[in-house]
Amino acid sequence: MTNALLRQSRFTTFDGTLSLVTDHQRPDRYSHLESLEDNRPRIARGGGYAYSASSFGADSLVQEMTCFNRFLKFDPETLVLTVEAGVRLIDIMTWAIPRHMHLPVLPGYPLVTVGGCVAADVHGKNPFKDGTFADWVKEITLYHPQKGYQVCSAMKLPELFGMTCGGFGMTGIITEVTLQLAKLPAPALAVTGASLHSLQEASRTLLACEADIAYSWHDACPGPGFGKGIMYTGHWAQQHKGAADSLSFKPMTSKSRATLPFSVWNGITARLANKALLLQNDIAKANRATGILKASFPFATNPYFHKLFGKRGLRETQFLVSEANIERCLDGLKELINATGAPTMMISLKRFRGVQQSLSMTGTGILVALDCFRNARTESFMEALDAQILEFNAQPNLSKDSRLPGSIARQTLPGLVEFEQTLYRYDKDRLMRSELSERLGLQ
Amino acid sequence: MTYLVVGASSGLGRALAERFASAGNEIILVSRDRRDTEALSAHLTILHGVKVSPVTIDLANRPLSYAEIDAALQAHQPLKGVLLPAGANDDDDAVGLNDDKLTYLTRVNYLAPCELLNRYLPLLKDNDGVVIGFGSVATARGRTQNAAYAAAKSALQAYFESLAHSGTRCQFYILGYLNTNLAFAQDLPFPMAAPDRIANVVYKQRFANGRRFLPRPWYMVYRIVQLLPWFIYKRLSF
Repeated sequence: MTNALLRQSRFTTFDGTLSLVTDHQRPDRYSHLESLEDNRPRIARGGGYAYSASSFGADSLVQEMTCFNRFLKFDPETLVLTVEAGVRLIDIMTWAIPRHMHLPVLPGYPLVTVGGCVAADVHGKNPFKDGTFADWVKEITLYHPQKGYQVCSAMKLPELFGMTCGGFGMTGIITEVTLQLAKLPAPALAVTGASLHSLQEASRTLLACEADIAYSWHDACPGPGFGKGIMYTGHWAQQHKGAADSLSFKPMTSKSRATLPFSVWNGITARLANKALLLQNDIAKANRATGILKASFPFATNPYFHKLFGKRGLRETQFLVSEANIERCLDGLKELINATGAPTMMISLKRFRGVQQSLSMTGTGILVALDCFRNARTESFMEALDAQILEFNAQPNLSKDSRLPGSIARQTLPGLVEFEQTLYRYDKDRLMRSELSERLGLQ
Repeated sequence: MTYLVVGASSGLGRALAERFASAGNEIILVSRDRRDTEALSAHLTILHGVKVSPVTIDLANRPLSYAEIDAALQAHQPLKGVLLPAGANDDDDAVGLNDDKLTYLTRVNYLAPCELLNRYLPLLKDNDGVVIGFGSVATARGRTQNAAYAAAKSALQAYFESLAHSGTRCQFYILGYLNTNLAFAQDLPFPMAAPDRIANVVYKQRFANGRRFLPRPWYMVYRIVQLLPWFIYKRLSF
């Protein structure tokens, strides 16, 4: 039997709010992946960029899949690519772009792994147009110590496939993913930043928008400036003068994000930074042609927003509100933030289209993403926000909120009960465990 | 040209295969688990468009079966180099190690690489090829841990010196800590080098002769350990 080669490591959520030490294995070959006892609780980990503790937990061994990062198969006729779970998005994009292909759904950081994207069913810059990551997954190979390797797709073991996309690793260790790539429409993206006066204006603009990229950013500090923002819309462009499609950046991890011992962001600095961003957008050219990599991974070249939250970390929450409820929800949000003097810094809106399944945040509506710095009011504000999520029948994003109570998730995630029943039927011993699965009562 | 990489499934072996393939060389990947070498073979072909053949050989077996390598060589360009990053260690490796483990460590770290090398040496000489071996700073002096591993790697180092003396073009790298899975589970006192960085150096110097330390600062550590008086050295625990 291959030596399991374990060590103890400290794992921290990317928001910096939750941290623990547990056993850690970084398998780099199949025999190593299979070397643990069959009944040992474990959970897979990718790049470690989830805000919630979905890739680690107390008494659960972490199997870090970053060495399983090989390209396995490619069909140039159908643009179907099979890769191992530890392949990072930047690896796919830097390979695909010169071959005139791309992956349409990309979260904001390039070192996120494909396995992590499947597990959290992440979204990109325009989920209304492109759907979520699961919409581009054709097949998954899963390893479960008591079941071996299983290949699932919409045709083969569809229930397992549905649970695995957005299942936060609870169905097994994802080893391979087959992706549908898309033909690259153009070599660049022209992104426009238009000024907005309110969240409501953004929501209405998004509902009428047909751009290739569409999302808004807003000042969320309480006060008269609340809601002012920028609507980013992008279209494929044939030329990008002076914007070569390369990405040079220093990798950021949950550890390097938290290097500063204190948070720079507070009520004053957040307001100043937001005003500066609004001013910069007014001054800058209206139409900025940029390379695809830079447009796809904005946080790679600008890590300061996250780093300045320091060791104390941040709170982020995301929830999807139906188009019918969005105006009332945004009014309620404004009222709540202004009434409580909430430590909110920014809000972002995106339009979604899809059908909710497993634990994934999918469906049709408008996504509200909200970032807070941490102070004495943060936790009570987040609890008040939970009540709003319930009131507006919104759907939370489990990968973005490291403290969302299981009781709220149970009331708001339509697929959770079915997911739970199917999961227990599939895996009676519940071997794949994390802090998130424990918080949701899925142990 | 074709390079044979023995122990190619992960760590330095994989990094070497990737570096040599990225320069357009054909590669024959040897490891004991075909699943790993098949995956790497596909990866290198997709990324670099080169011909790569996976071959399954367990260096612990005796005699070694060369049939798969021989067949692969028939289908490839002439053999230009043999790279031998294969190796194994064991948590129980200390004086008094049981016979099975002692035999295993000696075979994988010394005997099998030499047998394989002997087999393909005539072919390499015909093609003016190169042999590249890898040792360890553990060979500086014998110590409580890694007794059999260090002895086997020392023997391999001596064999490479003989190879060089006999006129074969060869290099031998004495490696410090590398960020591979062997080091992953250990609490090591010095920083670890990235395998791809080491592979890059090896590639650039692939036609040179001689013995080198990688990363270079390990030369000083190696020499200091060798020069320590016995009464001090025997009190060290590492």
